[in-house]
Amino acid sequence: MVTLSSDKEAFIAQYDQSKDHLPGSDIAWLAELRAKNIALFEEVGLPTGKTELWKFTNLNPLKKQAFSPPSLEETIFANSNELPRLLEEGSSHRLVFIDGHYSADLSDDKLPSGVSLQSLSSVISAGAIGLEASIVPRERQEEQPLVALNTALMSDGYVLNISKDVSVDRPIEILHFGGGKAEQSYHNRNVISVASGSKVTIIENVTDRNDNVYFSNSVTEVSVGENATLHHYRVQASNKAAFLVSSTEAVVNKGASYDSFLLNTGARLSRTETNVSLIAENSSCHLNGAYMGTDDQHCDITTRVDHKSPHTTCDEVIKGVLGGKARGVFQGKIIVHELAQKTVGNQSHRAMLLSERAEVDVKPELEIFADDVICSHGCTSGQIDKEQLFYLRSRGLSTDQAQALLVNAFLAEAVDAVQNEGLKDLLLVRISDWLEQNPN
Amino acid sequence: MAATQETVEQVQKLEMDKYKYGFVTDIETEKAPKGLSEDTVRFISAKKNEPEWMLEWRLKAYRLWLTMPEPKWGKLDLPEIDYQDSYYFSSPKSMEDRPQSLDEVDPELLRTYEKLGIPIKEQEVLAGVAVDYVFDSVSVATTFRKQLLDVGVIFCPISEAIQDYPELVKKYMGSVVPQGDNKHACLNSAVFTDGSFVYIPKGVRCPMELSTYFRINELNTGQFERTLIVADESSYVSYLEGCTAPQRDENQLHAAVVELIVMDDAEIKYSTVQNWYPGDEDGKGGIFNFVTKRGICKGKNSKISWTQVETGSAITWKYPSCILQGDNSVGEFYSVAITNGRQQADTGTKMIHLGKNTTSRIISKGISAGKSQNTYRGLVRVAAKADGARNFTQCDSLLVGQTCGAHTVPYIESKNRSARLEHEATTSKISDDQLFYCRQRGISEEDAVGLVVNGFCREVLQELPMEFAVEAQQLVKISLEGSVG
Amino acid sequence: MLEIKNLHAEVDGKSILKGIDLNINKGEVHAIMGPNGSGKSTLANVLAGRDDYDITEGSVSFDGKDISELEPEERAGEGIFLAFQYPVEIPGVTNTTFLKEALNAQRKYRGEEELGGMEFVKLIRSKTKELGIKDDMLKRAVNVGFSGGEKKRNDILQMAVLNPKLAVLDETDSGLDIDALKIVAEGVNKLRAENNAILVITHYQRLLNYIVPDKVHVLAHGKIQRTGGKELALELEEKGYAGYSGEAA
Repeated sequence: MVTLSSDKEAFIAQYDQSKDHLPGSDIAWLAELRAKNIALFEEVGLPTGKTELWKFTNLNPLKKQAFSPPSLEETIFANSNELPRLLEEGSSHRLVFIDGHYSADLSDDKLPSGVSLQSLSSVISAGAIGLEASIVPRERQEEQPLVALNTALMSDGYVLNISKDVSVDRPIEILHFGGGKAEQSYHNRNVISVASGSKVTIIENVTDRNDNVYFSNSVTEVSVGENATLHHYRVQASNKAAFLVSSTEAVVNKGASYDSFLLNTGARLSRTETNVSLIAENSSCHLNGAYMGTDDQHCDITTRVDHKSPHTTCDEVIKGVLGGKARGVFQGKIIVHELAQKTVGNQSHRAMLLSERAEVDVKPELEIFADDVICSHGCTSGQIDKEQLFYLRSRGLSTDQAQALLVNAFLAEAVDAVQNEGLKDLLLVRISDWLEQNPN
Repeated sequence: MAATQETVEQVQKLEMDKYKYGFVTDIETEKAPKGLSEDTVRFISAKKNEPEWMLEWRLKAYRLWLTMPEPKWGKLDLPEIDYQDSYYFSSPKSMEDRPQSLDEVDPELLRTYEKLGIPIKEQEVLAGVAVDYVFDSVSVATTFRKQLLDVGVIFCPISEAIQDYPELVKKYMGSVVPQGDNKHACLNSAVFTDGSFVYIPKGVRCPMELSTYFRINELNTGQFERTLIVADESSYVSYLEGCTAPQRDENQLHAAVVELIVMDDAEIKYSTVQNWYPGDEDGKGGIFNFVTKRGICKGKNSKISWTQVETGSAITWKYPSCILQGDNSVGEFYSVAITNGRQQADTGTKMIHLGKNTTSRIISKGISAGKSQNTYRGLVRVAAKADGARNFTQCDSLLVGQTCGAHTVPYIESKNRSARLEHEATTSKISDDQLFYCRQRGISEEDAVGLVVNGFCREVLQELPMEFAVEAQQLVKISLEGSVG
Repeated sequence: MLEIKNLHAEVDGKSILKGIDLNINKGEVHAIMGPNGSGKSTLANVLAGRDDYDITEGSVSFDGKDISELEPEERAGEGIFLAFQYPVEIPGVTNTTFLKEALNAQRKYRGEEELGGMEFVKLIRSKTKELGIKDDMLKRAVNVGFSGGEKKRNDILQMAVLNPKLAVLDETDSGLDIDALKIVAEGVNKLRAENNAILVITHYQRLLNYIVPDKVHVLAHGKIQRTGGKELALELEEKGYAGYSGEAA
């Protein structure tokens, strides 16, 4: 048996083999962009323990696994009802990606006026018009080799535009359904653009249909126009063999708000990175989340907020519960640039360790160059309060029940930040279910 | 300790200029040839009349140093250091034959220390403080040695300890900070010239404060001191170091190593008032202060407490740390770091919890003014076996003016569920309302800043031995002069 | 002692005071009353010299000296004391330290000798005794963790120690219950003397039951609309500010 691996060379080889078949290989700027990015990836390589941003997340398990590009043959689903959904039918507009590919058949065909959604592959085959401006190189691109890898290999994804002054009636639910074939990798690229004065809720459901190993390396570019609001929620419940790496970069304009929430229970290794730039006055962001891990799961949440303009606000509340040998990582950086006076930035991370072998590593960071600011972070880590546990047991609850109740309450507090009631209820159910399945 | 405040009232204000320690002592010196090589290492070892094992230890470090990279992870704009453009040994000529008593010390040196406010006369220094005076590369005097030896306490220059107590030195030197720990510590291991050695025997509570005063005088000369303190079972010592240097346009390197070893039920309280020359307003000159300080709580119920007031140096890079190995051991870190002008500081601590029920406490107060950058960097690590470990960390930063930066980079790693870790950090500017309130009561703006900042630092300053608290408060105020208005 | 002529002032470019004339003589107690937004607190801050409170026209002189260009601490040195509506907290700085710094800074400004430790302790003890304030308050950090009443009493203690010529009480009664109000008023009354004057700024009449003014001025729309004796305050209590203001008082 040939031992394969996904080290740097394997990905470069994959690029070399597939570059002529990747979408848009005939579009000069795109081909050039891919070439530049694979060169950057080659130069920087996969992150290692010495990469400061990846200090606590080791990609070695990924490297031991070989991945092939996603196959183009689609798994056929008779109808979209077979597919999981988060919100009840009729209460959301749903788009479906199967193994990284957009499935028009399984997606709702009617979107409200003012909402335009196309798959990345179709945008590219139509000449990639307007795309160039959306996938410009990021600042600090040398720190993000996996984004470069995505740019080199991206084959599908979605391009979502919300026109000016549109309040989208129902949330847009995007299902990323993976695992069709074992050992595939998907490099999806998404673009969300919310024009000024609009309001929309996007819920991404990342899940799969079996225990196949796969590697999803997705990149999303978000722009929120003046006075617009984007609620961007993400529920990651992939199987415990999957590798999920995602990087979202949001630019928030004057008076606009980017509000995100992540519930992560899945994947063997997940790294969910969110970078937000508050570029104009009165822009704000909320980066909230909750994660649960068990067995040998590794869950990394990394955020960075750049306050680039005066009167900008961010708050972050993240809570995690870890059992088994699971490891949780939270890295949160708040940067207040020189001009960003009157900034308010608050961040908190609280972790609860349920088992003897669980581990949590935290790096909250403040980098402040303006003086008229109020910034803070708070982190705690510990186990369930024994007094509380005893109190509940003395009232007749079993240890498991009491523990579940306390952990539930601990996590539920984080979920409170979710604005969509239907989703909030669903998340609470997910938390209870998780606790039932993982009594630790 | 409310005594701090009372002291302020009792002791008259010291009149200080902005950097009153900037003078140069004109004294004839003997130096090693400029630059760094194996010959330099041999020269230093020969000057100190060292045994062969010491020279070998140094050479091993030197060879390792050649292979090591500069640590680049600090949030510091570090200029390239030309290690060949510096002297590694400089000693006043008069020290050639070591004076046998304080009366034999060169009058020029005596005058220097008088000017610095710490005269080398036992009857004149603050009562109850024994001082080791280190001038460039040598210890020029150590007070109260005999009195201390009477109770079994060894307090002497480390160069003498190598001669007189080789077994103790061999056993402990490098045991907490290995030669290869980092490039600066490695350099120190190769070329250290003096420093203090302290041994507190079992059951002894050191009867007086011990102190070392470091002075850099010579141009283009680095200072590489090494301090080793061993507190045997059930002993206690409080140790303080102070540092100053002349005002010069050239940068000078100071790379020190401090190792603390604490046995069962013993305690070391280590305080630093660091006031090396910070450079001028435009960032010209000043000391590069690269210091590795680490202590190990080897025994159960042992305790290390670091207190530092860092106001000087062009660049400060130091992380006094505690390895909490003994069960129930305690580590503390209290820090005030003030940067003004173009100063850069990257400082903090590491608390490594290995033993059960170990406790650590970190209180850090950073103040940035002028065009300076001030970073707290810290690590709290709880190993899997450290059941019941506790940490509390509070990092507060204060910004004075619009052109400075304040940064907080904590790392928190827990492998034990029964560990309880709490970390809080805040950053804010000095409040206009507080300043107006003070001014309305008649206090000038500059004094108001001093007052408010001293209040902000109080939790840390009150940890200093009383004799030094007053000076530290003055220093805090002076360090911020010119930062408002 | 205090002579304000045709004073116009603005805050952040917004015109608030629009021609105030006011004379206060030694030994007098004046009250300025007015609805919210009338400019009462602005007047207090302008007198104390707060940044961003700019005099655009007119003059303020104190003991015959134009003070409009003086720094806040210089005005304090001249003998102007402002009791704050919201006394500020200064963590880590004890009341003793603060008072000593302030008193000696003012003495220095006036060319008087600074007080040594013992003299200062004597002075402060006599004042706390006089005002019935417990000594442990001196060891606490300035206003940190103080109740609303304690903060105001602390301001009165500062006033007693600093012994100003003119005390301006800016809505000192706000947020105080009746018992705290009495204690504060009592403190103020103890400081009334032939050589100093007091300017009470308040929205409500009730404080004036305890600190009886010689004159009452009604401030509205940035101008003094009416001046009278203490009975004017009672009239305002009865009829409200309806006649002086478009907005609800």
